[in-house]
Amino acid sequence: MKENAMNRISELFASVVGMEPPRGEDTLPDDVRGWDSLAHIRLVHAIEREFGCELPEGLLLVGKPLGDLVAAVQDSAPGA
Amino acid sequence: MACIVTNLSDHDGNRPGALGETRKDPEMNVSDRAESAWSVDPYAGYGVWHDLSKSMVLNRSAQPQRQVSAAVLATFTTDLLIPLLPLASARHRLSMEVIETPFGQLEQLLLDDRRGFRTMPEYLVLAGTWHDLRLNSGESTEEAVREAVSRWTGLWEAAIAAGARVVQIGFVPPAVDSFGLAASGVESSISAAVARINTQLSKSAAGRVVFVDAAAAASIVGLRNWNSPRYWHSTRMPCSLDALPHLAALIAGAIAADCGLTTRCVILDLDNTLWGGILGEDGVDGIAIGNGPLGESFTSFQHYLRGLRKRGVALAVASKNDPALVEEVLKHNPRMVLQREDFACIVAGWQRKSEQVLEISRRLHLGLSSLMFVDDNPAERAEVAWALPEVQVVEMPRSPAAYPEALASAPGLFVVQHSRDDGLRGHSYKGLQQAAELAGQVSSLNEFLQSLGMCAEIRPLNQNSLPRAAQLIAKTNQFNLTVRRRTQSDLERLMHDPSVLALTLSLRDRFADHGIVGFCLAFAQGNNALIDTLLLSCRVIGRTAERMLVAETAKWAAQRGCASLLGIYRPTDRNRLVEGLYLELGFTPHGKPLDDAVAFEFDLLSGFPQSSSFIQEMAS
Repeated sequence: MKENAMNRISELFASVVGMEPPRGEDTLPDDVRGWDSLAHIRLVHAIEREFGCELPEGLLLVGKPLGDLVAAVQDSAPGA
Repeated sequence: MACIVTNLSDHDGNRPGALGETRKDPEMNVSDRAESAWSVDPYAGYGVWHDLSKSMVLNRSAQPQRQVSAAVLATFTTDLLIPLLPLASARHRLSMEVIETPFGQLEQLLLDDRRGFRTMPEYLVLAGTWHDLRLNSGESTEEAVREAVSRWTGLWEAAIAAGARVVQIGFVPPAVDSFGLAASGVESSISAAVARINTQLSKSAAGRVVFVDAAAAASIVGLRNWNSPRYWHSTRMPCSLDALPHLAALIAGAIAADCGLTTRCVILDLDNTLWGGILGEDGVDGIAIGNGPLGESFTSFQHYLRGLRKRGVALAVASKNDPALVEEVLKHNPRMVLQREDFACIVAGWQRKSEQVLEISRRLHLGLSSLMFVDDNPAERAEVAWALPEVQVVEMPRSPAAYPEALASAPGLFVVQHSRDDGLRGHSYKGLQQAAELAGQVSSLNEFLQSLGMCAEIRPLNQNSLPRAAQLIAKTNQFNLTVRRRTQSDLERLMHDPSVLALTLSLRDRFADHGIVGFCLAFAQGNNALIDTLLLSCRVIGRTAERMLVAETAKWAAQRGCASLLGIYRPTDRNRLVEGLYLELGFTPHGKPLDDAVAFEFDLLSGFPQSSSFIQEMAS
């Protein structure tokens, strides 16, 4: 279950930011040049559309590791 | 939300692919992508718009008709909105260069001389959000309403003074109001205050600023889909990402409409488009119109179309049918909403649809890019789109109940404000058609012009005619000697200058009142007078009306003591028609041709250029 969500989020991440997350769930914005605040909003939007869920407010701003987004998706989306 | 994308390159008559496929298909070639780029619907969502914006390549069908520069000055974050504007503009065949500005700094940019723009863009788009308005639900809103109206109209003044044309995006009310559904009747509710601000802004905008009713647009999408409190709190963007394509479409639509990039004539198929069934098989009384659920759908569509005609959009028919049968339905089927006289032009026969469209374009003197083609048959649509890429072809849904919606969301029918002369225009095209038919019956051009019984009224530009003159200047490409796009605020300033002559010309013939269709602007400088702008709407080209404007200008120049009248021709790729105009009017070449212009001179000491002998002047 968890792996599946991570895979799909990695794909979305690559299409928004332009590269695979280099350190998997531990990837931080500092690790990837293109992961700025605008890219982050687009990433959240893409994840919410893909999984049909709404991520918590705390994740709308760039800063947290990618794993936090994956965990939030699993908390809120039964289909993940 | 529905995803609607049309793919006009699909001329084999296959069903175009859904949008999701477009996005995921890596094999899709560039021209297919470009086709979808200019026909993509805002309901496709932010993700699709973002991707298409990034990969946007314009091909021949998307050749822009007009280029503008614009800046968006907003009290909220526009970083995600701005990149969508070129795509939104391409849908209208407008090429928009967007100048980026920091958000929230409207006063600093417009009122502070030291920080303003390096070069002022042609259009300034102003936008706020209800969060700015200092409204407290349940408390008096009077002060806040007054403050908001004076803030935004003050910004208009500054923008106009700086030489820009202003587009004001109206305020979108919140989706949630403490007073619930009662809010609109409670003066102290936020929704009611927002509505009052919009009404007052829209009233003061009339004639000088383009006001866009974003609240109406948001209510169609749904306020809960449009607004996004959490994006407001986290990123200072008041709307959801999926509202951004709609907002971009509003901005581009308003600017395109202001530039005249709109549909002037909707060309309609008949069988299964205006009525259900096949006229040739089902007969005049057998077609489905006004009877049963299917017939009622077509009735509603005809009502919608009749409204378009009242709005000033001409209607025409392009049908593969027996012309006699078509006439019979229009005259004798009592359930038809549209009557014979609702159509400016009817072409029925067996030639290809693209040939019928060309015929209509020729008869109505309308350029292909101002035509919209509506046909239920995908093969016919594809044939027209392929043969005449300038024509806007509407992707029609299967259900006739959804026809009005398909047209209403087509870019060419986007409308922002009603200019006074627009209502006359539908009649005027009809008059053109009758005039064209008459042309076939008379032997010479002179005889034809005499038989039109034309009357013109030439008047100095005034507050009432100002918006129409500005509209003509923005729209006219063919009969336009210099194609100088002077703005409404330029004109307003020049209008009061005693060394400037600004004239409008209205024309009427025995078929139609065309309203204001001509404009001339001249400057007197010492011994010379110079015609800066001379233009005629394409509806009245070939009627010799330009002679009246030039003769009137010559008279004025002579009265001011000028010895010669100078005229300038600045060639563009669309105004070759008037290359030789001044020579025809008896002017002689003046000086050496410049890089981008040729000057002509008329010696006023030896007489005046001849006025038109076919048009009577009405006493004003």
